[in-house]
This record gives sequence, structure tokens and C-alpha cells, in this order.
Amino acid sequence: MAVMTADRVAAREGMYLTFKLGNEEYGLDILKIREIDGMMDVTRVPRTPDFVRGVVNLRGRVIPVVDLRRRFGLDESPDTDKTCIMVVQLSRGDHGMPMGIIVDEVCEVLDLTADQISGTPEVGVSCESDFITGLAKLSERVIILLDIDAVLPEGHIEAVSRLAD
Amino acid sequence: MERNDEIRAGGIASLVDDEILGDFLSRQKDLLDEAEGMALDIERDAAGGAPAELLRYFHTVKGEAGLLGLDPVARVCHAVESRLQEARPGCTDKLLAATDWMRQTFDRIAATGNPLPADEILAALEDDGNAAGRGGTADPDAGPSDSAPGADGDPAAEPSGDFVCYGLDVRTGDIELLRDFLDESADHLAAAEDALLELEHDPRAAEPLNRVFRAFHTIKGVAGFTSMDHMTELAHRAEGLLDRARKGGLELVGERMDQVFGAVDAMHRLVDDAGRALKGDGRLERFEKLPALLAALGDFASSPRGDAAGDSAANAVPADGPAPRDVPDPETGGGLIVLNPLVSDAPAAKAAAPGAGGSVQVRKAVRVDAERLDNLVEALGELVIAEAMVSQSEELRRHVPAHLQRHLDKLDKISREMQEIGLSLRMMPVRSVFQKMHRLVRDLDRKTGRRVDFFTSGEDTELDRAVVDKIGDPLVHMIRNAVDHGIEADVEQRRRAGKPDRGRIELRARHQGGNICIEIEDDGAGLDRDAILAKAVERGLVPAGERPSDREIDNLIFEPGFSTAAEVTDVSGRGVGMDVVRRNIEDLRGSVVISSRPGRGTVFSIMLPLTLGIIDGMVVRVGTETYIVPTLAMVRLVRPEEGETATLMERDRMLSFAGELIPLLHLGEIFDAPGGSSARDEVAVVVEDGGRRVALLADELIGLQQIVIKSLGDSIQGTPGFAGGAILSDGRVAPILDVASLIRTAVAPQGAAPDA
Repeated sequence: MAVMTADRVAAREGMYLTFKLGNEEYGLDILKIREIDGMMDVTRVPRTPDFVRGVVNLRGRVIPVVDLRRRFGLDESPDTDKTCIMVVQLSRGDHGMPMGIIVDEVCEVLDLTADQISGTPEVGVSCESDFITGLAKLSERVIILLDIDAVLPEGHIEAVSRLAD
Repeated sequence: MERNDEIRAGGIASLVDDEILGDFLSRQKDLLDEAEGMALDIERDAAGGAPAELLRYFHTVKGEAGLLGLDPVARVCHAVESRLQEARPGCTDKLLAATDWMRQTFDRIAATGNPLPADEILAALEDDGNAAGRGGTADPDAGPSDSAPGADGDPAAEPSGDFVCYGLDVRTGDIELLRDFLDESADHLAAAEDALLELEHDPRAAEPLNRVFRAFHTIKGVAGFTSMDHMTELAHRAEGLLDRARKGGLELVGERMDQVFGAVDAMHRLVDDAGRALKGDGRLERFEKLPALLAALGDFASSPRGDAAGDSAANAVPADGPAPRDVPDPETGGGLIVLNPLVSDAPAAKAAAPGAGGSVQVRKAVRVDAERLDNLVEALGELVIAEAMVSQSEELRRHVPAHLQRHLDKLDKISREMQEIGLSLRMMPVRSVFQKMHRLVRDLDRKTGRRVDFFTSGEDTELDRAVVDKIGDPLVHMIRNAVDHGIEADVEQRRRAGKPDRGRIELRARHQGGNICIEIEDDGAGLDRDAILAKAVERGLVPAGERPSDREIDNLIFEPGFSTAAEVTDVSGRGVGMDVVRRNIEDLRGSVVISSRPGRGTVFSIMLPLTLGIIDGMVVRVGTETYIVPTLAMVRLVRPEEGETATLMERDRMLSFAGELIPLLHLGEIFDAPGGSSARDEVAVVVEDGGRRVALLADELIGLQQIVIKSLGDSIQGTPGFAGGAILSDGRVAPILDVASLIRTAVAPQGAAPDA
């Protein structure tokens, strides 16, 4: 099972926007991304899960912002000039829901073909890897492809904030 | 009615206001050109059938011509309409012949005041057959005056009971047209209902009768272009009934009035059904009562030729042809009746309006998709914030040259103005809701046998559209209560109290401060506090032997479960679903207050914010963070002195406020806010929800602001303690506290302790 079936991989083909968390590079389906903004003032909302950094004012609309480092359990690091908020469109019911994700640095847009993408190796991956759809291997780099809807599944934040109460 | 004959003898021009006639003629020139253009289009694209505009044009002219007594013109238009609906090839020639004739006859009218004879052109139009025979149901005409040809077999009356079209696919016609029609119909039906209620008070009033008539006629006219033949038929028959009333043949009272109301209800229902069908598979649902209603209306509309009405109607028909349509009848004082519903803003509507009972100001209106409007208002709000961020930014203030400052000031002014306009776009008068209440009281009056006079005032008071939509249900509840329980069932009781036999209920709306106040006042017996208290004691809401204040007792009727019918109704009344009423009103961020005087009546005052999106909020600092407390929930600001606070079990802090000990919540602690308190400026905001009070301790008051409420986003909206977020003038977001849930989550775990 180290390799995905051909058509599953084929479904992963396409344009990705890559970003960095620490030394690792991740890729998101570019169609999921609405815009990229520099770091903004984030207002903390008490009683929400810790990986929710808070809310921001996106041109008059208030949207929640998730700290992806905290979501993945990585070490915290202070925001830098390169820290960005990527606004993604999550699938929620029949309408999308915008949400910001904080990443260390936005890299580039890549057009990935099927032969560059492989499945997730089972070894060494912690249990919570449902949201990794594959790995892309370019000459020197490995890019972890994410399913953002699985990273922040429906009800996840809600459930955690109820618990926090 | 002999006057009609005199009029005919004197020529058309003598009976119609010159101005109206002139106006009509001047418009026709251009319209005829357009109509000719469309007729030519048909020829080029023979498959397309008759365009709706062309039909509308002829229908409109027919109506107006009828109104002006230009009978030959009306007849020609009618014939053209019939032809158009058959959409036979080769009709363009005949159409053009008709338009030529119309052009000539208009010139002639302008010169001599009389139209050309129409026999020749009519013969040509009906040349190859059955055009005239199609009158009947699909034809939107048949006009209000079908009493004329109707004397010997009104075609519309024939299909009596079995006129049905269930299962018919509403999408067969022009869907856009149908959609518009459904939209419009709601307005027309509301107008009709309103006028009917007026009519009920004064069955002889001409002006409301004309308004109902106009509404039905409009619906009939437009329905004729859609696939809703049953609607056309229904409107047609209702119109027939009204027409007889207008001609003085019958008075709209009792059963007949009920029939007309029944017709309005049925039309409402048909509109709803069609709307549903459009969303669904296009099939109309079965409507069992329709055939019976149609038959009943048909009877009223066409039957008793022998009575006074029949006679006068017959007299009105000159031997040589159809009656002039809606010639103003001086006896009824009806004046002119606008019959060109399809072009609702046509000058004729304005010209004809002053016919009776004062002029009606016609406002120009544009229908806009609600979502687009919301988007616009949202964008305007953002503009204002963005503008504030620029013009108030520290950096700019330091360096800005004077001329740039002037521009900025101007920009500031404009953007504020735009925001105000934006907000006003969402406002609509409460009139439509109040109108429904008239109908409700009428029905209740019938049902309960209580005689009630119902008055409304302040219908023009404007509220946010969303509030207007949602305030209906609570009002229905409260008015039902007022009729059913407020007004004494026993007239004797009223007499003993020195009150008139008929109960009086008033519904008022007015501005009060920055809010809207809606009051429902009855002159009934008032709340029976003893009975309420007894019930409350029985249910354990109040400890036995205690006597809370009158206000507290009154408020008990809002307790959930206190309400269900049998419980209180038997003894005093009030309280059917009042908890729901209060909840609905609170959802609109409003509040409701009762004031009741035993024996004299009860007033319910509902306070509502002007708009849903904006509230007044107190901005407070907690540590390094900013929060907003809605002022609606605030009772008092207190700077707690030494000795006014106490601790329970070394844990729960209490504040002594107005002789009570209330829980004191340190916001910084419950929110884990970073940045310690600088105890010096500490302020306690005392808030209240559902009679329970707590004090929220903040580090500093920043000030009162108008707050635009935003959702926190689907996933964290609903986090306990927060009602949403607000964007402050510096562009940052501040969470808005949800006082109700804060009190619940803060007070509940402590058990029953703080019930001081």
C-alpha cells in the first residue's frame, strides 16, 4: 500500500500552492485558496481551541484564523515578515466557508504530474495523517500534499470549543 | 343610469377629462410605433409566437380605452389580443391593419372627440373565424363590464364548477413572467385585503371598492399571460362580483364579503402553490376548495339579473353594443377607475388617481434582489471602516497637508452619507404587517364572538426588513391573546366597568430614542395577578406565601410552560405561548414590557432596534484585549468600592448591588486574558438577562459605540459567551459578549446559590 492506485494519484494531479512550516514544505490544491494576505492583527476569541489563533477583519468580513503549526503540533515560532495568512475556502454543506491559515512562508505555484506524486508511506507517519493526500518528489524537495478540508474537518473546531467551555 | 346615454349623445370628449384623454393619445403615438415594430418582428420570426410585450400593449390600450369610453378602440384591441394569442401565421398584416386603424382613429379623436367606426376593421380581424369565440377563460379580458354580453350567456360563467388545472405544469409559459407575476401578486393581494377591510367598515365607500377591483383586475390581466388560468378565472369572477357591487347592484356584506375574502385567500394560496411548483417539479397541487369557490363567486357575479342591479346594468347597455367600460358613474362617486394595471407607473394611473378620496402619491420603486442589496449594504459598511482607518491613522495625521485633509474630510462625509443611505435601503414600513393584523382581528372577531374595534397607527414607521419579516408572528400571538383573553367575554362585565360594549384594541408603532416601539393596547380586564400568582405558586415558580412585585408577577406569563392554554386561560387569560413571543422578540434584539391596570386593560410595549445589524455597545478593555457589551443588556456601571464585594467559599465573588448580592465575574479570569489588571480603573458592568443579573468586571471602560455585528465565522460562531464580532474603528475585531449565555454558563455551575 505504499503506492496509491494509478487513478487516485491521477486525481491529485494539478496546480498546487506550496508553503513552509519550519523546514517542511506543504502543498495545497490551488483551487481551494482564495487569497494570501500578510500577517494581520488577530483577535483572540476565548473558549476556542488553542489552534484557533482568533479572528481577523478581512475587508469587513470576520473570519477565523487557524495556526497550522499548532494544529500539527509543531513547535511554536514567533511570526516573521514572511508569516502569511492564506485564506482557504473550506467545503461546508453547499456553500464554502472561508478560513485563514497561518503559515511561515508562501513559496510557489507548482504544476504536479502523476509521476511526481506518490502515496503516503505508512512507516513513520503518526496516526493523524488522513489529511495527507500524497507526497510530491521534486529533485531535491519533498512536498507534503494536504487535503485542507480534512485538516479542519467540519465540526472539529466546534467540538473542541464546546469542550473548552 | 340614463346618464350613460346622455354621455354617448354628447360625444366622448365631453365626458372625459381632456387632460387624461390628451395624455392617453400622446402616449399612443410612440407605443403604436413600438407595437408595429414588434408585429414586424413576429413576421420575421414566425415560430416565436406573440411576444408578451405586444399582448401587454394591446391589453393596456384596451383597458385604458375602455376607461376613457373609447369603445371601438377597446373592441379592436380585444380582437387583436385574441388573434395574437392564437399566433397564427400571417397575422402581421392584420396587426398592421389594426395599428393603422388605431392611428387614424386616434387622430380623429384628437380632432373631433369621437373615434372612427370599428366594424370594418373588426370584421377584417375576425375574418378567418373564431377569434371572437375565444373570449372566455384564457382571455384576460372579458372585462369588468361583462354584464353587457353576459346578459345572454356570460362565457366565463359557463365552465362553472369544474374549472381545474391541477397537475398542470406551470413552467409551460414564460417562467420569468410568471415569477414577476407571483412577486407582484403578493402586493396586489395585500392591497386588496386592506381595501376590503376598509370596505367592511363602510360598505358604501367607493374608493376602497375601486382599489380591490383594480387589484383583482391587475391580477387577472397579468395571470392571463401566464399559465395560471385558474388564477385568471378566479380573479375574473371575483372582479365580476365586485363590479356588480360597484354598479350598486349588491352590497358587499355578510356572505358576499366572506366570498371575496375567500377569493383573496385562494389567490394567496394559488400564488404560494405556484411558487412552490416553480421550485419543485412544476406541477400545481390540488386545491379542493377552488371549484366550489369559483362556482359560488360565479353565482354572485352573474346570477340575479332580475334584481335592481340587473335592471340598472341592463339599462346601462345601449341597444347597439357593449356597454362603455367603466364610464365614470357619478352616482357611486367612483370617479375614474384605473384599468391599465400592466403598466403600473403609467401616467394614467397618476392622472386617474384623484378620482375619489384624495390623491395617492405614487412612489417610484425598483425591485432589487434582496441578496444584492445586502451585499451593497455590507460593502458600504466596509467602505466606511476602511475610510475611517485611513483618515484616522496616526501616520497620516502627522504628515497630512491641509489640502489633503480637506479632501479626506470630504471623503469622510460622503462615506458616512453612503452608509446612512445604505441602511435606509433596508428599511421598510411596518404597514404590511399591520395590515395582516386587521385581517386577523376580523377573523377572531367572527370566531370568538367578541366585538372588537381594531385601530392601528404609525404604519409608516420604518424598520429593518428582517425585523418586519419576523415581527409578524409575535404580533399575531399577542393580538390573538388580546382579543381572546384581554377583552372580556362578558359584555355585562364591560358595562359594569363603564366601558363601551365593543372592545378596543390598538396597535401602534413609533420611534422612541434610537429604537422602535410597538405597542398593543387593549381595554380589557387587565392581567389577573392573583390567578397568575396562584398558578406560579402551584408550579413552584414562586415560593408559597410570597408576594412578588406586580411587575414580577406580570412577567411570569413569559415563563416557558406557563403558557399552555388550559392552565391560565380558564382563570384569567394571557400567556398562550408568551414565552415564544418573548424569545422571538429577543432574537430580534428587542425587549417586551407589560403594563396592566386591573379592569382597565393591558399594554404590551415591544422595543426593537432600528436595524438588526447595528447595536449600541460598550467597549471595555480586559487585560490587553477589547470586548463589547451590548448596551441593551446593561443595567448599570459600578465602580466597586471596598466592602461592596464579598467572596463565597474563597472562590465566587459577589457584588452588592441595589441591595442584592449578585455574582461578580472577572472577565480577565474567565477569558484567560493576557495582561494583568490595573485594579485602579476597574469597572463592573451590571448586566441582566431574563431577570437574572451579574456584574462583569472589566479593567477599563473605553466608551460607547455603534457596533456593526458580524458573524465570527461558521465554525466559531456559537462559542458560548459570544454573540459575534464587531469591527472597531481601527479595523481590529472585538468579540461581542452574549450576556445571556455568559450568565447561564457562569451562574449555572454554581447551583441555585445566587438566586438573591
